[in-house]
Amino acid sequence: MGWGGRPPFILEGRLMDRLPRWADVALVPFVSLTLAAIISALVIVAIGQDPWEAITVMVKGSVMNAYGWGYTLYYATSFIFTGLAVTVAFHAGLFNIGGEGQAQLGGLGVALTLLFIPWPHWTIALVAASLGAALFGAAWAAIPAYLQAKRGSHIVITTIMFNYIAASLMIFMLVDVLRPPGKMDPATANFPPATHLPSFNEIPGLNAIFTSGVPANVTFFIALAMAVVVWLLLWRTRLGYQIRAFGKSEPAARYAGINPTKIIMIAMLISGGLAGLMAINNVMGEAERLLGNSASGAGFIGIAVALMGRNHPIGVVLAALLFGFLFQGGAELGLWTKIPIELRTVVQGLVILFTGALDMMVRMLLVRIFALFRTSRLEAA
Amino acid sequence: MDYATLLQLLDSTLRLATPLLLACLAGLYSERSGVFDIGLEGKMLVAAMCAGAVAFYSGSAWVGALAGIGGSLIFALIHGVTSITFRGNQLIAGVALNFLASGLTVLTAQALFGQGGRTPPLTGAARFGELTLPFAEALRPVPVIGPLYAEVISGHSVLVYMAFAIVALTWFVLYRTRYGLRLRAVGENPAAVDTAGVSVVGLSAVRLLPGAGDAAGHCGRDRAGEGAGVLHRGPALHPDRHRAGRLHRQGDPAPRGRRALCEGTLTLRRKSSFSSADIPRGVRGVRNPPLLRPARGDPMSDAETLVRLIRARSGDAPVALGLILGSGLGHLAHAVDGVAIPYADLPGFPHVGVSGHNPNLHIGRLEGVRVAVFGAREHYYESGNPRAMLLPLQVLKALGAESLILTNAAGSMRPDVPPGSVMLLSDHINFSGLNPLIGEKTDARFVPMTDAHDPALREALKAAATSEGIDLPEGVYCWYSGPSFETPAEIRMLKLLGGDAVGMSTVPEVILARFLGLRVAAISTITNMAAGMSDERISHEHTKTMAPLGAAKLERILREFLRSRH
Amino acid sequence: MADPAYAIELKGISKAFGPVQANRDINIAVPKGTIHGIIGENGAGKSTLMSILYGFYKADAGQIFVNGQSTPIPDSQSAIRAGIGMVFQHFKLVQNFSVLENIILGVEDGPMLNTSLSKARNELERLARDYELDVDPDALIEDLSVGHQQRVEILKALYRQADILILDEPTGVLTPDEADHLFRILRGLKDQGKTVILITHKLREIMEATDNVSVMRRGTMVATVKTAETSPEQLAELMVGRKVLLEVEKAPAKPGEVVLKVEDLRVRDEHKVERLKGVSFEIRAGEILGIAGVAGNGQTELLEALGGMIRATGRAWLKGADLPLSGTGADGQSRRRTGIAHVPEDRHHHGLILDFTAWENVAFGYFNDPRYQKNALFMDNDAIRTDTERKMAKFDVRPPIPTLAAKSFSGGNQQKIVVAREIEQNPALLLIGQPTRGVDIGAIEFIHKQIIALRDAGAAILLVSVELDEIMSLSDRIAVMFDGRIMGFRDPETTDERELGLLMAGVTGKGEAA
Repeated sequence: MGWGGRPPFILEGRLMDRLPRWADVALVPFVSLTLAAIISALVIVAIGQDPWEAITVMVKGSVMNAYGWGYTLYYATSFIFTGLAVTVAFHAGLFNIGGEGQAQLGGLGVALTLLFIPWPHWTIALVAASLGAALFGAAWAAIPAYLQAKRGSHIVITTIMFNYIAASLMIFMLVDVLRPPGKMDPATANFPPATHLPSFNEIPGLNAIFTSGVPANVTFFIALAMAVVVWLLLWRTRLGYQIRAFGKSEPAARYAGINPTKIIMIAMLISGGLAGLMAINNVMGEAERLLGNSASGAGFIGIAVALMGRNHPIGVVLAALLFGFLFQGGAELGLWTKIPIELRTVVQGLVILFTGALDMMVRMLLVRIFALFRTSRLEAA
Repeated sequence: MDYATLLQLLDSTLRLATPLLLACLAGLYSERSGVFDIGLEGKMLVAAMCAGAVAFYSGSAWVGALAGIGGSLIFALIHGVTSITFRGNQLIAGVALNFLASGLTVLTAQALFGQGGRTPPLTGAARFGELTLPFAEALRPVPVIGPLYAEVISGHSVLVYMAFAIVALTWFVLYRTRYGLRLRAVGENPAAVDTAGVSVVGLSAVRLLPGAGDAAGHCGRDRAGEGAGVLHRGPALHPDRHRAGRLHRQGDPAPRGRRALCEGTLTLRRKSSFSSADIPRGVRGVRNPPLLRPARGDPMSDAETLVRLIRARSGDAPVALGLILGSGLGHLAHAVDGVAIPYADLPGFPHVGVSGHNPNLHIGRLEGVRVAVFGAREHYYESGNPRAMLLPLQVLKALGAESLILTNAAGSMRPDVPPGSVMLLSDHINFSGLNPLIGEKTDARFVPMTDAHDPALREALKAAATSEGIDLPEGVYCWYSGPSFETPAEIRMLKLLGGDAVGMSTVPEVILARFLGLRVAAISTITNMAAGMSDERISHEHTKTMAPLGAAKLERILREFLRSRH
Repeated sequence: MADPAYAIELKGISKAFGPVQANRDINIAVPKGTIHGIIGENGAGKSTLMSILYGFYKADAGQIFVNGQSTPIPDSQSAIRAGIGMVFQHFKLVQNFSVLENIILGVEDGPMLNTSLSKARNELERLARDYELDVDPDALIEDLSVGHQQRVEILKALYRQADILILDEPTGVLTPDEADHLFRILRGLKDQGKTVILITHKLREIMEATDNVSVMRRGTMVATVKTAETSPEQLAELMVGRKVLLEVEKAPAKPGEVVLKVEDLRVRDEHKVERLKGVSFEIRAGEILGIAGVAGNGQTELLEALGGMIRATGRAWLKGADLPLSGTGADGQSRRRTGIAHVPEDRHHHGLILDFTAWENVAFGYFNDPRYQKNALFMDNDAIRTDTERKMAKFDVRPPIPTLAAKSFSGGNQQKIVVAREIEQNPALLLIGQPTRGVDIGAIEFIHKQIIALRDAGAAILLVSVELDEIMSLSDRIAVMFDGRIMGFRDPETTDERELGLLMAGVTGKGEAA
């Protein structure tokens, strides 16, 4: 054959132009995070505070004791759900910014399930409330999905809009519909005690570690299970294969006979359902009633978590832990230092910027460093 | 709808449309050049912060406006470098910038002004005034067109006119200039521009500047321009302000930049993300709204925790006196030489959403006395919790205070105490049927209320008033739960029962303070006559002019009172 | 110092991308006032070289001389200043701008447009007179034919005072007639003293249009010869580095039963424009029907409609059974189930998911295949990988690593993956579009052999190609398409390029309606 003796140099070149796999998976995020941390430290210095004190307070308050972990894991649970939600949509080539609204609607699903049906035991209530949460979250994602699939409306815009609509809808529901008579609070009544989910300090075995009351609850394990399910779905099933294929190339999907409408709808329904499931953690597991703004921004954080986690369930879990730490640590900052709690919003912004948008910059930097390293090694040899 | 209402509607439409118009133009430039700028919100926010801060320091609205443009240009540059030079995802970069802006603006404002992450209100030349177009008054009598010209077209800030001029300018730039041609070409087919011998990167950078930067910057100026003006603009805007306030309370992330344009001071402290503002009050008995950071402990230990973290910021010296401010007295809080800690940073503190309030705890010296000033209170009618102020008062006590001065705004039932007066409370009638101590378990709950309003404090306050030459009548205050106002019949009844003033606060705080062993005195500023007490129409006008007088009087009395104790 | 008799002289140009040496010590001299051809396989380094000349890439080593002067070209502006103009394969025009706006874009005479526009209008009239380059200055690009769009590109270069014009694969989208017109224009330019560099992989064009020709192979310049003193066979051998069989060996077809029958097939695009205007034909088992035509005359729509990618009206039968053209049953999955395999024209956008691994691509379109399932829930990825290894071995895909991403393979190997996937299904009908586009000559031979083998195994094959040579050598029957219609059927044994070329331009020899 004509090309038989030819080395596959194109292939080789492309591979060598890239980074080693370990650098791609671990080093790039690490460098991105370091850059974000350095700039955050500069911001702290700029407002006249001590970055070392800040990091000490953050670490102490979030991961140095069981109590802190109880909060860190609680936040991480919410972020795993929303991060997975963004991940699934992302693999279908859809940027779901509507996790916030879908999570709020999920809360409504939980509230309706738990308030109006008497459940004998929390396990059954958990299953029912999960269904309610996922259903409502999915329903909220369904409309933007339909508009994208059938009308070509940009999903980014519609999901953003649906966050606003969700916020208004929730205010209406809480103020005018679900608020118990005689109460001024825009919130539902408390859920029945039978639906109380065990917190870490109430789970036999775990309560040896978590001695004081913490918000982290059994939902954490559901979140981990969902990460596994999402992984199986995306890389082991035909549906996942189709979602990923569609996400990589819509024209190619059309060629292969993958129905775009179907994939957009299914991917967004799953995504919305996952975002909605977050309500199990905060509404059912923690507040035990539905309040306004229940998602508290976790839907947006999910975007950062997914980006940082490279849209892989394992990465999402790790990134969710990191953001859980940022949240708990940030709250501690607000409590114990003069640094305003908004610092964590800045840190989030920087993390998203560096891990999500400036990826290429870090990569280019590393490629150059690696090239230098290689050259010097060659010269030495 | 009559013609006058229509005019008013058009007038406010025009004004409110301006920031949107500028933002849309910013979007137009970036769309035309092929960038979907989701980060406009953040750029507007940064512009608003820069404009507000610089206008405050420089005292010039124009300098502020330039700073606003500069601020959003920097953000636009980051966006450009990220998405063009480093080929990052524009959407993600935009989302990141929104996060960054919403955090950085608060940090900066807090570091600069210490007012809970807000820029100070602007006055005088730091604000853009209204521009009266030529002949506006002369043409007013002309039917139909006259009022339209005078009311709707004339009388806006210069920025409104500039915004509309920019629309025309934008058309010209896009279709009649080299820059416009290249901009549109980049949006349609970047390769075409590249091969035509133009640097796409350079052009894109240039395009992002006027595109996202410029127009968003204008928005910032607009904010400086409107300043606190909107507050006094008339009723047309109020429903909107109200709605903004509500969303605001829900921690709604996005429309803040825009809202900042309409509100007096830029309230930056609400965020898209979890905040300790969402942290529940730790009220015993009821399992209370834990959103993401639940507090489930004993309230007293909460108070101790809070004291520790307050002292971490304010220093360890004890405070001598506490002061809870009613509306209109914010200035006094900012006069405190010390730190301002946002309620949002204090778990369990009221989540006060009513705009115009100052939800900060100020600790420091005022007229030489170390005080703790609560910039805002939570009313019973806000969440149905009469114990809302328990934790703040526990904290006050734990900070070492012995006395507490409460202030409020009230309606007068005495014709000789008109709006603009101040009234010292000699006693009160709890007309709500509620008591903040219900549910307390110990016998301490049976608090005696004789001389609840401390005679010695009252004497000192009266002496201060006398030395300031201010008339300070004493009277009985009736607590009415609200939020609806009283009916004329109810007022007649309260009068018969011996009431002199009526309001929706203070009494639960007096009870709680007595419970905690604090000495209390309270002063009302009279802002209006109670229902049925006067001709409503006259009263409305009167209130508007007289209410600030009362606040000024109260401030002088309090300062003199503090000086006398120093 | 270099010889000023050369418009362009490159000395020792080298360029590496990482460890890949795209250009290695290239020397070339183009005399003024000549048409110089550069020929080479895909990936031989032609485009890299021209990109260096136009300032898109910076050479690692070497010098560029323009008219005898050493001229560094760091960016496209410098190239334009040096009098170099470039006409790209894919036009760089703004579709919704007028011709004039496109021409002045980037060389406006000031911040305001009025003066530039009127100046360009005058200049355009002059150029049109001088070089047969007439286009309506106020027409929008999107309303122009590709031939006219190409003229706008040439005008753009001339408006920028180009003395040296580089054309990259200019005839790929043109009819033979339009190509002839283009060559007339180029000769006109040459007569006016301009220098033309023509990059192509079509031997015929080199022979027809150029004065000299340089041959590139794997990043090096193998030879520069006078066109008059060489032959297509010699050039082909230089390109590939060995003797090449330009003819495909095949036995005469033995057509069997009718596999595909199509009647009055019509397709409208998203703008409701009819792209396929009533096409009827049939293909028998063991027969290759070749569709000739200039790109964009309905061939793409024909393949996509039959492949289930777009909706169509009309009727079609596969082995006598109704083949739905719209609604349920008209998608790619149903087509595959009924035994239709499809090698799409555009392997990058349709045939492969470049980010997927080779084995994931082997399952592409066949993810529902029972062989690839572990159970009702999960796919059997191991089975797919094993199957991929087998296919890679059979089709000699290099490197035979199933876990490598598709984008890491060369164009020829990518195409082999697609062809292997489709042919190995043993389809009753194979739809195959541009089977050898962007594929090196060695792989072309291989793919052609596989197509013939499938035919001989009894499959019906619908072959679409814009390469007339390919159609002529593979097909058992030829249909020529023009403007959404079939202009006629011809026997490859009895027809010639001239006759087909006329049909492709819509002219029928027997006075049939166009």
